[in-house]
Amino acid sequence: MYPIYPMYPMTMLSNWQRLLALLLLLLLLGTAIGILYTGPTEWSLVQEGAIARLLGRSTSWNPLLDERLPRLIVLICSGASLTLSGIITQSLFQNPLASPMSLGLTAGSSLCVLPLFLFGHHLSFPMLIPITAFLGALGTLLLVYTLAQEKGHVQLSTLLLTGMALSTVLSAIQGTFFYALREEWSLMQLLTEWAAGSTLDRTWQHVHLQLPLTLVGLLGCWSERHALNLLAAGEEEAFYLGVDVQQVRWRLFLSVSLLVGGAMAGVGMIGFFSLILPHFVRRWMGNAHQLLLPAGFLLGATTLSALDLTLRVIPLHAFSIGTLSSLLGGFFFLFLLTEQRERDVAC
Amino acid sequence: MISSHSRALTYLAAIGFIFSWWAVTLSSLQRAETPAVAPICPTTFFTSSHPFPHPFPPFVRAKWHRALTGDLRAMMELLAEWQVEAQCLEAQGEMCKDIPPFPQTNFLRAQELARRLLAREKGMDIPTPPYQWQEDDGGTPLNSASPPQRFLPQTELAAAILLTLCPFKQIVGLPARMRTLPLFPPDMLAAVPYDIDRHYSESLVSLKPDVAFIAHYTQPSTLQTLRQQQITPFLITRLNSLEEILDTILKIGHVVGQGEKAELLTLFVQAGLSTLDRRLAAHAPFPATPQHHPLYLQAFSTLYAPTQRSLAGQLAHRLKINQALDEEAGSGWTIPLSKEHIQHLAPTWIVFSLRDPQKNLSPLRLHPLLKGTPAALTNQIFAVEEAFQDSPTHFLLLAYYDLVALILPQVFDVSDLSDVSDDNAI
Repeated sequence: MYPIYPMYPMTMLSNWQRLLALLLLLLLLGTAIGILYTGPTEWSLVQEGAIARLLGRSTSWNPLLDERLPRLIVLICSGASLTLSGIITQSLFQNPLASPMSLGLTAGSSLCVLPLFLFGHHLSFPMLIPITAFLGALGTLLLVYTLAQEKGHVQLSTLLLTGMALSTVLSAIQGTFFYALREEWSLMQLLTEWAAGSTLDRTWQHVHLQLPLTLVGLLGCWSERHALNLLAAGEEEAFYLGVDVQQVRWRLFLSVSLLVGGAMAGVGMIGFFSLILPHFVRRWMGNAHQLLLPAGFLLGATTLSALDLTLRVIPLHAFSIGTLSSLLGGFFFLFLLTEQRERDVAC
Repeated sequence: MISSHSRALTYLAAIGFIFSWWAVTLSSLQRAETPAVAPICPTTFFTSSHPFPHPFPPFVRAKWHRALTGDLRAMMELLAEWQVEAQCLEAQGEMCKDIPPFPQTNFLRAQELARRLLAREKGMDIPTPPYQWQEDDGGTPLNSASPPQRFLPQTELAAAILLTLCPFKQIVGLPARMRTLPLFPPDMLAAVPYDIDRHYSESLVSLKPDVAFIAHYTQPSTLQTLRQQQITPFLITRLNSLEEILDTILKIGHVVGQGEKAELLTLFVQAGLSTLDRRLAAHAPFPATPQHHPLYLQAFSTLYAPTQRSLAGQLAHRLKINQALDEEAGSGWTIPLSKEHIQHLAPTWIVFSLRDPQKNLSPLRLHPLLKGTPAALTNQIFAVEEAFQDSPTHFLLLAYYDLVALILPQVFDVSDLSDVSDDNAI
């Protein structure tokens, strides 16, 4: 049974919701400052170099302008994209376990990147990796949609099952490669690192690759916020209220693939955000998408940025941002479920 | 409901927006150049010619490689050359005072062993020492009624040592990956026809190996199968330093009844390392000045510097490379380096450990993380063959050779490409 939360119009945010939003905003600001400030180079040198660059007196590489700032933008875009894509997917399928992974987007993205590593193109053309990751996500969505079509229409249940089946097939193909190449230690290290996600050395190229995808994806999701509210009541009801269900669904999935593809291009594979963060957002904001989407943006951006800063300040070399987010998210989710169960029992 | 025309326009607008953004921004980023002015950085390591005129012929890698694959004559000749060189350099006094000398007794012992082994090869009746029973690295003694005769190496390390020490007919099979590595020439590898793979266990068992050399990562099911087929597993795990590798060579040598050859091989490796250190010291210290910051890197999804926990890191440390990273090493095997970190280190000389260095070095020279570093601006980025750098065997000597050859190309014959393997490491 999909949990039904009360729907609040925007003007009726409670005090604690406003406070939480403010706290998150402050946390995001603080984290952003931390990310821009933290690094091995002395701040005075960084500042000096940045000012010289901005005034046109220097063209040297500067850590603040050429690495930390692009990384911050990528983190904000990726965290927000993954969370929003999870919210949209769960809303469309009306299933709390749905995520872009269920549609095979991450598996398709990952499989498309694999040949680049296999043939050594990641050395010659490093920017091919994010481009291929995005194309893989988009291509997988198109394939899922094509396979799930029946007489020009797509049923949600069929879509979900097709996505899961395709995800299984793509993961199996990837697994076959991993097994066949298991003795190639260097390649295994490369693939393991890719699968774990990374925010190391994000540049303006990553920003410019991801940002337009994120902007179009966000706009696509935002423009359908009212349709999403209506779809929560059921497809038939939404149809009779004037929603072109097939078109809205297609546009939203396309937006999701742009968001996920952009995030894969920016940081690689990050678990937890698209599956678990939406649950936190719904508990916080309810089911109104005009609140859910901005809240998801804020929470996702803040969480990913905070995780990245944590890993830089506390050198936990055994963790990547992907593995840490999955681990923490899993524990939080278990806690949430336990608390929900106790609350239900108490009621 | 939106009409199909407006829908199409919306999609086109979105696609147009995305592609225009990419076209404008990515091409303008490509055009942006790093400053053409290189920082003040000497292009050679040696600021003055050394007063000692070097009388010795350049080293020939192919000969060293042949010796390491078990060529006794090559080993003997090289040992004799090194002994003479060591004596000449030590007579100079101050030059190599910081290099621990390789004892003359060890040189003499090595020559004695080489002569005994060559004489035995020619059929002369030279008595063999009694078989020495060994314990494996897990403390389990070798449990066999008689000295084992046939061997099954489950790991590349064991295979490399066996190929050097044993007659090929005693080796039942090789790990499949062994045939892709440039450690041994193809004709040597072809002499052992079987590849070790679980699907061929029947063929391998029919050849009746007595001992299987295993590692801590050998599959439990494989271990069980070996025991059921009366094949004694011999565990090798201690490979984390040069000393442990030399001990392992000796241990395996005694297990296969080639203790003398194993001892010769270990002495050869130690003498070779000492010779390389002495040659380097005889020219000039490396790094030459405090402004020189050499780095040893590995390329995966990002760039890494190996720590002293790994063998590559130990070799680098021996050459005083990666010194600036010593404090950050921690307990890991590698240190990931961000662009900021590399810019902060300002490396003046970089060597990569790569597979197929001749093919893979060129794109790394243009790696975005290295852009603007003194090493990139003065074209001081090099590569060595990963297979030797990562090999926890006697081929560590060639790994060290490759690094020293980059520092002192003038005393290494880099024109000699008639190597034992097709992939020249430099």
